[in-house]
Amino acid sequence: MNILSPSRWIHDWNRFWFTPTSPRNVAAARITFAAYSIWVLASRNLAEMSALPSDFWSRVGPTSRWRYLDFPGHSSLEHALVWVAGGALVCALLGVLPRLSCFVSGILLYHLAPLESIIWIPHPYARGLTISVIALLTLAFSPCGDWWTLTRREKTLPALSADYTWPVRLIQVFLVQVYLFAGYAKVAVVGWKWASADNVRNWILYCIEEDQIRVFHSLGAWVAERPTVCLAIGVTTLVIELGMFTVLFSKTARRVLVPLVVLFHLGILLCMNLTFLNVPQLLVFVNWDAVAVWTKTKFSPARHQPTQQQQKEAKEVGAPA
Amino acid sequence: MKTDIASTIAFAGFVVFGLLVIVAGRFFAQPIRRKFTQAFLGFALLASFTAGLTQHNMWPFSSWPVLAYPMRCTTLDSPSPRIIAVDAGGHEYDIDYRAWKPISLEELLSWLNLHFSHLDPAAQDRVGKYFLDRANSAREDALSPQGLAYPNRWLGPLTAPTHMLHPAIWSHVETVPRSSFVAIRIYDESWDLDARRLDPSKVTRVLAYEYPRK
Repeated sequence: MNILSPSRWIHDWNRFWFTPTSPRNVAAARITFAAYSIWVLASRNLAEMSALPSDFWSRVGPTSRWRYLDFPGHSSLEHALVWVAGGALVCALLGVLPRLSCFVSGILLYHLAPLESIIWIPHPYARGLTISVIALLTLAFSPCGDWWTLTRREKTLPALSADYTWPVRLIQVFLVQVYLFAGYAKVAVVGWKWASADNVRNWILYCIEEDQIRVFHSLGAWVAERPTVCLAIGVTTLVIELGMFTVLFSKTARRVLVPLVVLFHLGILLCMNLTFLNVPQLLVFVNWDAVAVWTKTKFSPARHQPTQQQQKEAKEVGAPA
Repeated sequence: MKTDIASTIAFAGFVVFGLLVIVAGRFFAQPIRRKFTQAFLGFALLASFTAGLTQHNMWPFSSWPVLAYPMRCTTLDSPSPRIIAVDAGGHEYDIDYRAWKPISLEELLSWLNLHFSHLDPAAQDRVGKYFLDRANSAREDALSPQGLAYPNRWLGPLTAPTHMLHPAIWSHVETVPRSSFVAIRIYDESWDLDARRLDPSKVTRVLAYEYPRK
C-alpha cells in the first residue's frame, strides 16, 4: 500500500489507537496515576497557598484566578477539596467507582495544582501534576475499572477491546510530548548549539554552584571538567528528547529508550539537582499483559507446564510462555 | 490573558469531548461510538500539539520549555535572590527551605525576582515581616525535639521533592542558629561560573531589601 495513500493512513491510525487489547494496561495506568498523584498531592501544602498574605496574590491576574477558580482567603475550602481529591484518588487506586473517581480527582487537580506556582506563574508544568490531570480525565472517559479492582466479582478477564487501547495510547502520547516538546523548545529557542559543550557545562556549573539548590555536586563537577563528556550529554539529550516518540511505534525502541530515560533522569538529578517527578508514570509503557503471563508462569505451582489458557494468553501478548 | 482564555477553552473542550465519549458509549452503537472517540482523540492531539509547537503554555497542555535557554558563563544578567536572617549581634544566617512552607523555595525566589520590587514599600514591609516571622518560627521548630517538618510530616524525607532540590540545612540541631532573628535581608547574588568553581566565595552580593528598613 502506498505510504501517501489516505487509506493507508486511516489503517495505521486505527491500528495505533484501536487494536483490541486486554483491560490490564488501562487498569495499570489507573493504578499508576492514582498512586503517583496521591504521593505528590500529599507532599504539597496546596490549600495553605490560599491563606498566604494578600500581597503575595496581588500580582496574580484576574484571568489566571478565574481560569482555575483559585482565589486567596479560602484555605478551609481548599483543605476540604484536597481531602476530596485524595479520597477520589484512593478510590481510583482501589477501583471503587473508578471512572467517577478519576474524573473527580482530575478536575480537582486541575484546580489545586496551579496553587503551587500561581503567585508568579499560572502554568505549573514540571511540578508533578501536569500529566496527572489529563491522564486521570482520559481514564475517566474509558472503561478503566474492568480489571484489578476491589469491587469486581468476575474472575475471568474481559474480552479484548479497542476501548482498552486508546486511553493507554493517549496517555503514552502525553508522556512522549514532554520529551518531544522539551527538545523542540531547546532547538527553537537556542538552536542546535544548545547541545554544545560550553552550554551544557555552564548549566551544570550553575546547578552545582548555586548552593540554594546544591545537594549533589561531585558527579556534576567531574562532568563539567570534561568538555567531551559535556558535548556527549548535550547531543544525547537532544537525541533522546527528539527521538522519544519512537517508543510509540517500536517495541524495540520502547525496550531500549524507556530504561535509558530513567537513567537519563537519574543522571540529571545527580549532575544538576533537578528532579523529574513523572518518572514512575513511565510504567504505562510496560506491557502488563506480558508481565501477568510471566508472573503466572513463574509462580504457578505447575510452572513447567503452562496451562492451555496461559499458552493462549502468552501467544496473544507475544510473551514467552 | 489571551493564553489564559485559549487554555481554558482547550481544557473545557477536552472535558466536553471526553464526556461525549461516555455519553456515546451509553446510547449509541459501535460505529458512532468510535466516531466520538476519534473526535476526542483528535481534539486532545490538536490541543496538546498546539501548545507544544507554538510554545504557548496552555496548561495542562504544556509546552515543556525545560532549560530552553542558553546558559551564559556569568549570572550577572539574571541574579539569584537569597533571603538571609540576621540576629541581634548582626550575624547573618541562611534559612532552611522548609521555613517557607507552604511556598516552595524556587517559587518564592521566582516571585521575589519578578514581583517583589513592584510592590509598594508598605506591602514590601508586610512581606518582610512575614518572612521574619516564618524564619523565627522555623528556627524554633528546628530546635525542638520534633525538628523542622517536611511539607508532609508523615512522609518525612519521602516527601516528593520539588523540581529543584534544596539542602535541608537545619536537619541537625547543631546547625540551627541559637539566637532569634531580628531582621531579614534580601540579596541579589551573581557570579562568574568559572571563578566560583575555583573559589566558592567569589559571589557578588547586592542588598536589595532589608526589614526593618534602616
